[in-house]
Amino acid sequence: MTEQSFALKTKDVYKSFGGNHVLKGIDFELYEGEVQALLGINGAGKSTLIKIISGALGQDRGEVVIGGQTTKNLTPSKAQALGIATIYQETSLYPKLSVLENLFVGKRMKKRGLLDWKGMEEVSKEIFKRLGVDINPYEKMENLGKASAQLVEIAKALTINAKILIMDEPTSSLSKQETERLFEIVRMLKAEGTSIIYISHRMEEIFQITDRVTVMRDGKIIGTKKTKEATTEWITRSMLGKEVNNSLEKSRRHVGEILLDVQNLSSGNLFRNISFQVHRGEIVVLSGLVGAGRTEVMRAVFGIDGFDSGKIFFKGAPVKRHTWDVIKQGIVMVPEDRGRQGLVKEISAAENMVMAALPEISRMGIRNRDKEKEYVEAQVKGLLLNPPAAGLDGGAYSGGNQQKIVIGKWLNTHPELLILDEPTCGVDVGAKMEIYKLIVSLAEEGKGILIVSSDIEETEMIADRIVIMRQGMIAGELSGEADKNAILGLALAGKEE
Amino acid sequence: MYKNRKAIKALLVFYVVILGVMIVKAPAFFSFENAIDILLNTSTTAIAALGMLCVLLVGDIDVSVGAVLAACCTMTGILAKAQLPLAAVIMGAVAVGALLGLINGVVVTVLKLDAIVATLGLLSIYRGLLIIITKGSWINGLPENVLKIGQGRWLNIPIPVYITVVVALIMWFILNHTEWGRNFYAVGSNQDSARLSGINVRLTRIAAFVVCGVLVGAAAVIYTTRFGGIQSNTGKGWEMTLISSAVVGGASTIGGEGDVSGVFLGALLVSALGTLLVFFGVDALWEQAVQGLIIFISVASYAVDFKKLKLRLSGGGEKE
Repeated sequence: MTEQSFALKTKDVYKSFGGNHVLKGIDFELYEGEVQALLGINGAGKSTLIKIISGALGQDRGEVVIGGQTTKNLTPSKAQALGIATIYQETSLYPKLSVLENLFVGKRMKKRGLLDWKGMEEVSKEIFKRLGVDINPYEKMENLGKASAQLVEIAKALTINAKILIMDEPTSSLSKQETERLFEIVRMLKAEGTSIIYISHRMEEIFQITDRVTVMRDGKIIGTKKTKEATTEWITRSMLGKEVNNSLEKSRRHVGEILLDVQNLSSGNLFRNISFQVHRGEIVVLSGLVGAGRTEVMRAVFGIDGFDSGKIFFKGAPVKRHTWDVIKQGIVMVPEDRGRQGLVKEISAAENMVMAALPEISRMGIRNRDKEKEYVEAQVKGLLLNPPAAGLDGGAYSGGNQQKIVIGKWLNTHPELLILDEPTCGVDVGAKMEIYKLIVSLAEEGKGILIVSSDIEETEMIADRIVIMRQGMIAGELSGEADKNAILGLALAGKEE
Repeated sequence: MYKNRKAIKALLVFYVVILGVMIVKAPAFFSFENAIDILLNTSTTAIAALGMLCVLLVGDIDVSVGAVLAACCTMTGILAKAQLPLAAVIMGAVAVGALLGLINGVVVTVLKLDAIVATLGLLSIYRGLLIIITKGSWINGLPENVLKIGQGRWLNIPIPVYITVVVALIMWFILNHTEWGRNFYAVGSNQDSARLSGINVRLTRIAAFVVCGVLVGAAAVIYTTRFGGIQSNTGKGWEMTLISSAVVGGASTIGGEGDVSGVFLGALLVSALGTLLVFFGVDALWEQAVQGLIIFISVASYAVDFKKLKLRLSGGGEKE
């Protein structure tokens, strides 16, 4: 390994915000032409490190060496000039501009002082060809799907001939096939000598695509190992600083009467003939690939979108058509996009948690603060919110705790059926388990739980029953004991393997 | 180079409809003099609306334009009455516009105030100062040499029309073929990632305000010389005219969207509205209400996704 040269090195990098020490002496090394995973729970300091490397933040102390060159006062444009491209988790694209423009913002090609649109078009076409994708450079960015947007991000990195590519959770919104395609591109770039820092919460991807693994915790690097020599246990232990019990006890729960009964639901070309049931005390996972129509079914059940034919019954009575009535009937939905549809980041967690229950708590439209406090305290305790106080702004909590706040908000309306869309998307390993435990305890209380999940391990762990959708139809139903391959088989090909 | 073709298409259809109705209802509308009159009315609005476009593109808004117009007009009047040469008069007016634009931009970006609140406050300040300076009196009796700009003609077409065309071409060029023109779009579309792309976001936003001030200054020269005098309440409510021109022309008030041709068509519609209503035989008192209605209809029509709407209306929902 000694003969390998470094694409990037940080030496003893420190960074603090106010009195909060986020990085405490980071020595990070990236070889040329390797894919290195950078892992850590939310708040471990990954994002800060990435921002320092890409020039978006300055370090307090220490050095960043890029391609053998010690940098000074790195800025985003200087970092770009040195060949660093970052694909942030929150997409950094310009939705209202064309694809072409997106590729070149900040580094537009010029001819005699004027913008060379033709030249840029040629380069973009060449890059898309190299990536093996067909994207119209004149399409408006907001018209592209999430997967194409991810490809545009990568193409953007190629326009500056990136030598170091930083990918922050690149697959979080991609389907299985799209992920495979992305991996092919990653392998291609690696073969061409690009070094890649790969951040992901999905363990299987780490083992699939990376050469080495670095784990961060509390602003320090805990260790770096060759991926071949690393184990899931080592990684999770390093991330959390303690052994985690990764198995969930599926205690024998009393499964009661049918709560939700969906019969032959169809809507245009979104989904057809969907039938399934959720009982009291049961956790049903709606599994399948991204785009299989699961979210659309949920939305129809919850009264957000209409449907063409079929029936939905809740406790034997037809489900009402409008969301506010559906909530009154006792169904709530925790949406996937926590940031935009679930949590209001600018107001306190307490305000968030009473928001949906105000009609119930208030008397004649006037808020009852004592009762609100009671409700909030019960949730803070029940959800094991961390920090255990509800006074902070919603945005100040970590991803997992934000999710708990959103769940708490709906629990305050005393629902009987909870629909959770990708409940652990963007939540770190430690917090995932807490959310699973929370879900299980809710089921134990006799609530029905319906989960949309693309995470196979999660599905295996918590489901009592798995309903698999494929291309808008139900591909099959499995018991909670089913294994990964069976689920995947149905999701991909519509048959058990 | 994405264009809001939807807005331009909609406007063009609208124009065809209006012209069609006019042929039937009021053929007198189609006279050379009337067309010239409408274009002349459009000139100041169109020039300044292109300035407003820049501010809207970066995601800000400038509601102080009316007061800036008054200040620039006053400057034009003072310099012209001092018998200064034409070039100096123009430069003076544009310089005042640029300075006030700079103040707007700096206040909004450096003090990090919300653009609408900051420029609303500055609007009052500018107007207040102006009344103190002019003591509320009118400026009249401008010399002949400056009046040529607003009232003169070349090849029987008024000079302001030529100026408008030149300004529009320059702005089209800047917005499509220069780096900082495109930066307006990038900053308005996604400010954070523009910053990460190495764009100086603050400078870009200030530049947009300055361009707006400069164009308002240019419009002020035409305005002053066309009417030959200025009242102290010149430009009252003008921000409404400019913002509606830009928005009707497809500019987005949240930034990143809009282009020169759209804004020009928007300005034309907004300025021609008064004339149109007269020819339709509608009381001119209706102008403001109709203007509001047109903004409402146009913005709503660009915002609505017709495909989705159709899907929703035709199907969906429980059918027993």
